[in-house]
Amino acid sequence: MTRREFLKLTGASLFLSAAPVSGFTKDLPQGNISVILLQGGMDGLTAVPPIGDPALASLRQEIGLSNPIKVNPFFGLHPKLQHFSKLMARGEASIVHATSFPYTKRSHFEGQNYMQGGGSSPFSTTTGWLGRALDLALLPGRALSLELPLILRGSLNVDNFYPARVNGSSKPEKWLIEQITMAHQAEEAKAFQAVGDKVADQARSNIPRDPVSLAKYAGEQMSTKGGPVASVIRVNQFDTHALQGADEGSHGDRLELLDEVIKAYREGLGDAWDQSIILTLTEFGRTASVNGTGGTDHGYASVGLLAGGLIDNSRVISEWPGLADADLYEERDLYATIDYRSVCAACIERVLGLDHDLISQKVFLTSKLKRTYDYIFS
Amino acid sequence: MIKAFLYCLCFISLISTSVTASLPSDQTKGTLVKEDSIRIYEVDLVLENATDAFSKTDFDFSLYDINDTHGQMRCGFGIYRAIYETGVIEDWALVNGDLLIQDGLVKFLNHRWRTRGLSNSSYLTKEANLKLTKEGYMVGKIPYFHLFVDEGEPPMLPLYVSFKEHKNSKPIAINSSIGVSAEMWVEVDGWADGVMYLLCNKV
Repeated sequence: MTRREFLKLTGASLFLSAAPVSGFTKDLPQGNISVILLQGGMDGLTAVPPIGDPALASLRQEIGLSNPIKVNPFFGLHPKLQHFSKLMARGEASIVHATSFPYTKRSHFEGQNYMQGGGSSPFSTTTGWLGRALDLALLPGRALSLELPLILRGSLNVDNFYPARVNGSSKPEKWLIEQITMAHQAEEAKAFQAVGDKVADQARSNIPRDPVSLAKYAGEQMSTKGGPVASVIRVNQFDTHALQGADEGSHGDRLELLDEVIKAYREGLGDAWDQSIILTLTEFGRTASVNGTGGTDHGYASVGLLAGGLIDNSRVISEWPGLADADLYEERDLYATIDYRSVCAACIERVLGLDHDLISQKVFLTSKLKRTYDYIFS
Repeated sequence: MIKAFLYCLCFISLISTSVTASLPSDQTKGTLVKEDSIRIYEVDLVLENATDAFSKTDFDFSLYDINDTHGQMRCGFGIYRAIYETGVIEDWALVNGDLLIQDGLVKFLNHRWRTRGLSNSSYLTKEANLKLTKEGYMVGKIPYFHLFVDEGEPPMLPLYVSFKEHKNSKPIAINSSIGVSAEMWVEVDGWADGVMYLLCNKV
């Protein structure tokens, strides 16, 4: 029996990582970090329109927002990001605009690998930046995932959970795990058995698999003493080449889902929210202008949304490149002026207490990563 | 000698030109700018309705059986730190004063924080969210200044701590009228718990 025969994946999946192991971890981390992977290419100019840029209106006539939430005179927020806007009003959310990993080739396949791998180029690493960060912080755990995302893969095993379900089976866990265990040997079999024990402990709980419920579940897990330190949730379908919509429409619907995911994290984390940081990650942004089918195509820079109690003051952080033709990357895309790896590095520094230079060299495998910590957390 | 020097110069110049020419055009534009070119845009958003957003003292009371029919009790209270490592409860209070429990809802009256810094009575008065359960436990969430701030030290905002049915807590005997004592323990941080001592009378 293969994995694909009895696993059905939805568009969302959750991975919890790095439960501190008693007696092994010298110092408990200072907080927890959650990454929301926005797959398909989130349109930063729709999510956070630069309403103060004179070129925006002409570029985005068909999909321009009629009623953005006004963050400040220069930037707005998509009206579907209601909870996020309230977090900003409370000082618990920030935006980084015109940002990207340094990847310009506009391929989903490469871009998604690169945003998770964090190496020098796509497919240059077999581990992920968050996994390497957790390795550095000496946060190993029990390991199993039937689908461990690259971003969480480190050299050490990571504790991982994925709510598998077999269609048509009322009590799949025990026999399912036994089947998988028998199909594997040695260490893998042990790992599957550990999953079986964990699933049995959960007393047949029906953990839903939609991203909002997963986010709440992840938050609850991370709020428990000795619970996981990191989580990753995937939200798909941001690749709106046609009929993207404006205040309403397909891209707005995804932003609304993202907003609900952030809210659910907040609810699940409870008290632990004060020690949390959540950040979004997308493989690229979208073209500055609209295509012939009411959508946008693959681009370069996008935005990063950050939320959590570890943010003391809300702000928009950007070195705004402009939307005039001459300011666009290859005369089509918003230019990236902030390396988003530096934003990820700042979050790792804040949560795991690691030194920036160490993060730069060992997590992002470069000696040249700028430090943007003070822009985000001061 | 001079010719050799000139040849060298030409050679270097050619190398530079060829290297530059081989770079993709986007890399010559510079994808990143210096840190000090990054700008922070302040946020002008204001919450229109305080209940629209999450409060730091939001608490899920649905897990508890709240006593909303016991009438009124007035209590003197003091919150002290209980140190993990030694088990010792400190002699000096973080805060003390009076509170009222009316039909399950706890309301802080006159009280004073002893921790200095940013602590003042408005935090508990405005933000505390505590209720009394039928078993006599206080549950909910309050702002909590857990450190004493000396002169010259940076002041700190409060933590927000959740009172649940801590195993060390001694509940209020609700049916008694006079001189009812109780202890409400709360987990705070890795260094100490908090203990709220109460002496209550029915009003």
